[in-house]
Amino acid sequence: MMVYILKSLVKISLAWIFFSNISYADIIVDEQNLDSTKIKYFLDYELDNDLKKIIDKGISIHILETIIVKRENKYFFDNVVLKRIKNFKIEYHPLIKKFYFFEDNEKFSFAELNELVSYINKPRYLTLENIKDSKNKELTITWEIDQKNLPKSLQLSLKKPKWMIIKSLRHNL
Amino acid sequence: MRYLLTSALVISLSLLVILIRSLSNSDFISSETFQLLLKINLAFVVLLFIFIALQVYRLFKEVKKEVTGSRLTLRLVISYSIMIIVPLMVLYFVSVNFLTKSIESWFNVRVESALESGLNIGQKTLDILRKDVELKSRSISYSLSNSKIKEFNPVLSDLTEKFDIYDAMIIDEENRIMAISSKDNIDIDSVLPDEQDLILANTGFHGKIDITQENIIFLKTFQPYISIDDKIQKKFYLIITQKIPESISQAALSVESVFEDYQALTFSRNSLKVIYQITLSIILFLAILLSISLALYFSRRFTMPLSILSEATQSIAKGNFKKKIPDQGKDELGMLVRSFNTMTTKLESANKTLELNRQRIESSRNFLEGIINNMSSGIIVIDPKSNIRLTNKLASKLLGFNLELLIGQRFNQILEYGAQFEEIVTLINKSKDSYKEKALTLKFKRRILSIQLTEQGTGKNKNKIILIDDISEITAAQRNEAWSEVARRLAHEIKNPLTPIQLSAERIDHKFSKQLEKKDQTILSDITKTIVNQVDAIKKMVNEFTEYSRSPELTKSEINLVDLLNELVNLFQKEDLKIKISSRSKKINFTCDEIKIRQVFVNLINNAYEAKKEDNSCEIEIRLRKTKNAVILNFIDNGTGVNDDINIFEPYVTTKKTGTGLGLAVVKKIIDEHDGSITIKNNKISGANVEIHFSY
Repeated sequence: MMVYILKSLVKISLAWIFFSNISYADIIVDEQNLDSTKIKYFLDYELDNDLKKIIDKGISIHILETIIVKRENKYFFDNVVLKRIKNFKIEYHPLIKKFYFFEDNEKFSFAELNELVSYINKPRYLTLENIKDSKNKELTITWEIDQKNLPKSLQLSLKKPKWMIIKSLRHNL
Repeated sequence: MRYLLTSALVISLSLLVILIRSLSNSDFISSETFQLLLKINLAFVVLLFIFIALQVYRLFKEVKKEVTGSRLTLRLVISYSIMIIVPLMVLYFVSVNFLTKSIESWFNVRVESALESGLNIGQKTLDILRKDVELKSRSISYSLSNSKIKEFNPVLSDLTEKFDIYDAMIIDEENRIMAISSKDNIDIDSVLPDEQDLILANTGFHGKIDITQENIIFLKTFQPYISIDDKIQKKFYLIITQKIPESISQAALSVESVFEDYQALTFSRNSLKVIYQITLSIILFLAILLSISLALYFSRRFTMPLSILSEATQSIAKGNFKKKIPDQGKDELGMLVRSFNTMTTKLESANKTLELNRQRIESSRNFLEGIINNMSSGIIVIDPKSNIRLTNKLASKLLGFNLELLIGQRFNQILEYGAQFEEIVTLINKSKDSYKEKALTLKFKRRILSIQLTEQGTGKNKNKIILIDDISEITAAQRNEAWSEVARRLAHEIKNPLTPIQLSAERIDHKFSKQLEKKDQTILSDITKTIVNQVDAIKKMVNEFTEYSRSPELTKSEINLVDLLNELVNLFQKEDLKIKISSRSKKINFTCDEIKIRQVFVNLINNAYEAKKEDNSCEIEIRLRKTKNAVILNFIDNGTGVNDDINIFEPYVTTKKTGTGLGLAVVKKIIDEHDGSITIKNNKISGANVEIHFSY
């Protein structure tokens, strides 16, 4: 019972923290087979002004995409069924006035930041294997800036800035 | 407290050292460990604050309770704290100001503009290089447009060598490579244009700059041109890739990198200030709180000996001379403590002697009081100031009031208890001159008191001692003795001639009556009768005297007093006399001379009857009871009572018109012969109560 209460408290806290960034409408189950489920999601991200200023000054930004599938437990903590982390990187070279977006060892260049953001917001796909038969599963896709890869001086802030969380999407499978 | 404070001191100093050292390492500052360290320090500040708050609260509570030394401790703590906090605050504000200005100075406008200028130079250089490549591209494409397709390769090789081009490639509209020339091994995939590049190239020209993963800057141009071969026009694209010289490329990228670092640092400006300010604030709080802790500790340590000394002084003031203070070192306080301990030792010794003397005096006094209280005389000691200094219980009993209440007060105050004491007061007051002994006799409440006055001491410390003796018994005995003697002589001298007188009177009557006339016969007869009657009366009186004066020869036997009284009650059958016997027991045995005791009871009943009020019947209640060691009888009547001023048991004392006054004297004598006592007192309403007390 204590664990249940504790779990509820943790959930409330987490919900409070991510409330402003959580969206339920941007994940769509695109295709579902016996073996896998193909999921389409949109980040629908609007660039934060503070982050824009940082990028404009040529500071490289590393982004972590964390995909977590959890099975909900009534009394105990949820089981993490799947956890996948992917790295992205945004670079701007003021010398040549070009924005780069690094994804899956590929490099995409953009003349404008808006183009880069549009590229980020393009429909994205995710294939999850063997999850069809399970119930009470929750998918969370979180895009956040990797603080450890920021320049040291930018890590000084004692409180995590709000631009650190790019987007957090949640969907009940 | 000491261990707690030492631990706090060690921990806080360690934390401070770690915090200060970590400030010099920029990598550490940005790490989560530094944040954790800050939080630990902050938590320690909070803990220390709570600890000090508790200590201060305790101190204030002590002040409120007026605990010795607490006020001085508080004053010292406040003084120490002010002494420490003021310079610390000054230092803090100076440090914060200095740090803020130092951080601001890092972000110099000139540095920023220099970096921006460097970046601009890089951009301009790249622009110039790009225009140069563009011109070269146009020249080469012009030459190629006049060449046949099969000549593309040699022409391109010649031209690229002539214009110092890094890579050059010709493709047709189907992206087929028509010619290629390179100084190095060319990565064809990276050189081939994408769709976007071709679209832009079709506008006339397209050029772009790119940076490889290895930080090499390349300029890339896409130049479309038309070549006529066999009278057929064909569209080709000249793609030139020019590598920026490494020196320029590295310099430009280096400026860009520094610019990036500088901008990153600019973003952290406020955070840096906040971190340094928080760190300094924590250091300040830790320093202040530690200082207050130390102030508390040292103040308490300083005031402790004084508190102990004060408590010890109070203890001594209460009479506890055994209080000793532990040694407080070799300083002035220690010396004071040692002196104090020496003083208490001496005081204790003196007090012991004093106590011993007091006990001795107390013992002597108790001994004296014992003697005085057991004396057969009442005693009153009057000091030179005429105040009562000492008295005993017997004196109070004899004078009829509690003399102990007057101890310490003027002797004259005994007059408030009765005017009869005036003689004693006069005796004392008149005895101002020197004397050895003075005496007076005081009749008081049917008692005869002998008052003797003596002096004790010399000079101004002369005490007067009054000895009071009850001489009533002695006087009564002396009087009884005298009366007995008188009675014996009367009996002897008077009784003997009485019978001849009586016989002679009767003979006169008998012999001369016949010789006289009838009238004279009657007269003679009356005279002789009077003589005979008076002689009888004198005989009766003499007999009573004889009875009174007779020596006690008791014939004792055990009798039941209840039966005796009942028998007597039957004898006294009179209309105006009612006798009631009250006794819980029907049998109260007592060994006595029955005849004499009977006489006592008869006398008492007669006395009560004779003392009855006129026109009233006489009611007598005889109460009889037996205690553990006595038989007590009460004869209570409703008569006229007795006069308090006279001793009714003395011979020839009577309130009746007729009577010898010997009845109650005989009663008293018989009671005395039985070792008993008799008292008489008036009842509250009317009559008298005679109490006989026989001890056995």
